[in-house]
Amino acid sequence: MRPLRILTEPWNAFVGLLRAGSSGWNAFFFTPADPTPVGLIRLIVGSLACWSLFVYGWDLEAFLGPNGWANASVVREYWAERVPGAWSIWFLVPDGWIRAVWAVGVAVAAMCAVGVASRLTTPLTWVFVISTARRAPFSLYGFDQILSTWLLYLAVTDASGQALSIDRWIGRARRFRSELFVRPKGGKWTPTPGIPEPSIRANLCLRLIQCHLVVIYAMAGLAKLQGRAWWEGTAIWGTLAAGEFRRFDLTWLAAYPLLLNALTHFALALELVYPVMIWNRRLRPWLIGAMVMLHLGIDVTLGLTEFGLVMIAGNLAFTSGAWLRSLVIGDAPAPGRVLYDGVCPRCRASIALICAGDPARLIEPLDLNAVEVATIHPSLTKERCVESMHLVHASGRVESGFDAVVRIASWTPTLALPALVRFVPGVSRLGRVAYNRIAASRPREVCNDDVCGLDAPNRPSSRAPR
Amino acid sequence: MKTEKSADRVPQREAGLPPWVRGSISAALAFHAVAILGGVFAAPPASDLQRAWAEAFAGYHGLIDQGYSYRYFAPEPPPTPVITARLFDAEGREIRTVRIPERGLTPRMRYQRQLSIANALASSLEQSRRNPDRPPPFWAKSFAERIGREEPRCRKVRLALQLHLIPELDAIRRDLISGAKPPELDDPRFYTVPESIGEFACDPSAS
Repeated sequence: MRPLRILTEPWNAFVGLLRAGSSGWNAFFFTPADPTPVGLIRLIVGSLACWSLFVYGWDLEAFLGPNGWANASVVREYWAERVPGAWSIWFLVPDGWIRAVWAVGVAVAAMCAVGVASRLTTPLTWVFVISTARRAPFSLYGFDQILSTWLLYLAVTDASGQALSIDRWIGRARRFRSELFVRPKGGKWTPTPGIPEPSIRANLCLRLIQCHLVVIYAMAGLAKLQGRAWWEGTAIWGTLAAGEFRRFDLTWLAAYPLLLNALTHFALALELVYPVMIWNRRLRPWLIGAMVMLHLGIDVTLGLTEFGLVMIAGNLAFTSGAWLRSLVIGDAPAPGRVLYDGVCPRCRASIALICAGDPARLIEPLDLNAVEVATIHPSLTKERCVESMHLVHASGRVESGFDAVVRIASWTPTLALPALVRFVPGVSRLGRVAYNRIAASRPREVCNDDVCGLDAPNRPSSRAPR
Repeated sequence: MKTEKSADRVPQREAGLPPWVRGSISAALAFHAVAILGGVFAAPPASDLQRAWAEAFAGYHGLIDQGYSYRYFAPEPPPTPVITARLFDAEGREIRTVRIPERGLTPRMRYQRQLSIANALASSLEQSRRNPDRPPPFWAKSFAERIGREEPRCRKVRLALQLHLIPELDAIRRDLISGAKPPELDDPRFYTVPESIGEFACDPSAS
């Protein structure tokens, strides 16, 4: 039997290897993952695409016009020799329509960034970015390569709108609005938590970006090994002293050759180590932190801000959704209680909108007509609460009206950015005036059967059945 | 900072995707990975096998805008090409000189795009040099016409390429140690002698 075993054992080992490989492949690519990092990557990449297209608009005629750096026929000739399948919508756009189509492209990219109609706007943004790259191939640099790659993965996996998107916010707001279409019995309503559900599509997107990112760093590192200056530790000087790129005069660093050596060796070692060590969970935060520092350094020395940002966006594929959320809501958020007027349809609609943007359930909505407000906070009276929305912090602090709305917005991931508007001088003052006017004129329907109607979705003039 | 961890990844749901869907996606992923690696390895220095590998996926690369080699600042940070265009009127008098990249452009990305334009022309000049027939660099005529159209009096444009060199680290260090003021990075000594690319009509349609 021995000779037979010599044959079967290698075969069994081979089959075992295939099975383990298949199982590992499935676990790697087909395990659902939190889409929050995907949403953040979409936000950054979409914003950069919008910015890039917008900047092209400064010299639109020069880059895309018939009398620009190269007209369409010259560019077609260029591609015919290199990439026969190269396509671009700009080849089809009549000259007189270039500005209008460009404006559509900028708008589409902005919609992609904030996550409006993501399933459509993300692929369309990719189409605009590729088309522009194909129409003006002489204007491209590393940033465009990475931008196009991340957009491709966001578009093809169709996961970009699953988190941190207006799409998701509107979807939740609609659901909550329909739940509040009639005032809940006893005024008690608990919104469902909104932490994005893990999905295979999100995982595919993250895995594609992760794998592509390690290939980029690996090739950037390996190719540098051919260069003498990278071995001698002087290559960083070549970036600091590149006269056409410099943002600041850093030539004084020539007096510190050992520092230049250390920076050169660090940059090279990081690119070589990253592709292997990034898969280790303990080392991952350090490597991502080091890469962020490296890209910030490239920005300072070479002024490649957009390139740095798009590479940092790629690094976010290795971060945890829970950690990203905690950046906005904290590690152990203390919920606040919001007292709203449940017999006011407009107030119920507002609370639906706010809760939709609060996936981590930081706030607990309470209908002031269904609770004894003094039990929530001894300083509150029903009359005061009817005048405006009140927010009672876990610490006992009370805010009301416009300040309460803005505070809640600043706690929620979707609204945290717009809430920064409160720091603009005069905005809070105007906001308070506007809020108080709206609150004073709002319709209230005093009910005795707990079924006060909200304007029905899609039927603005109708009333809920009584 | 917390990174992707098990809390983000719920146990694998076998029933999540039908086997044929998972198989199709796996095949597409494998194809894509092979195509990307083909593009990555094709940049020089590359073997015939590596070039053939990339060639096999050229259509796919063209379709999805991939096939890049990602060899940033390799093998070493290079000098930067700068294009100068001298514009002449009908009497042969020089009207002005245009520099690409144009300094002071804001936002910074516009300047980066112009750096890429200079790089593109320098690359096409290099390709032209390697060709025994020495055809004019691919972009030269088109770029010259573009620059010429900006100046109504222009009749011809002379394009030239210079390299903006990186100063020697040791030389700058010596200056710093001796207390001498090191030269500015824009000092003329850090530019190569202009190499003529050619002379072109400003706007062929006007002539």
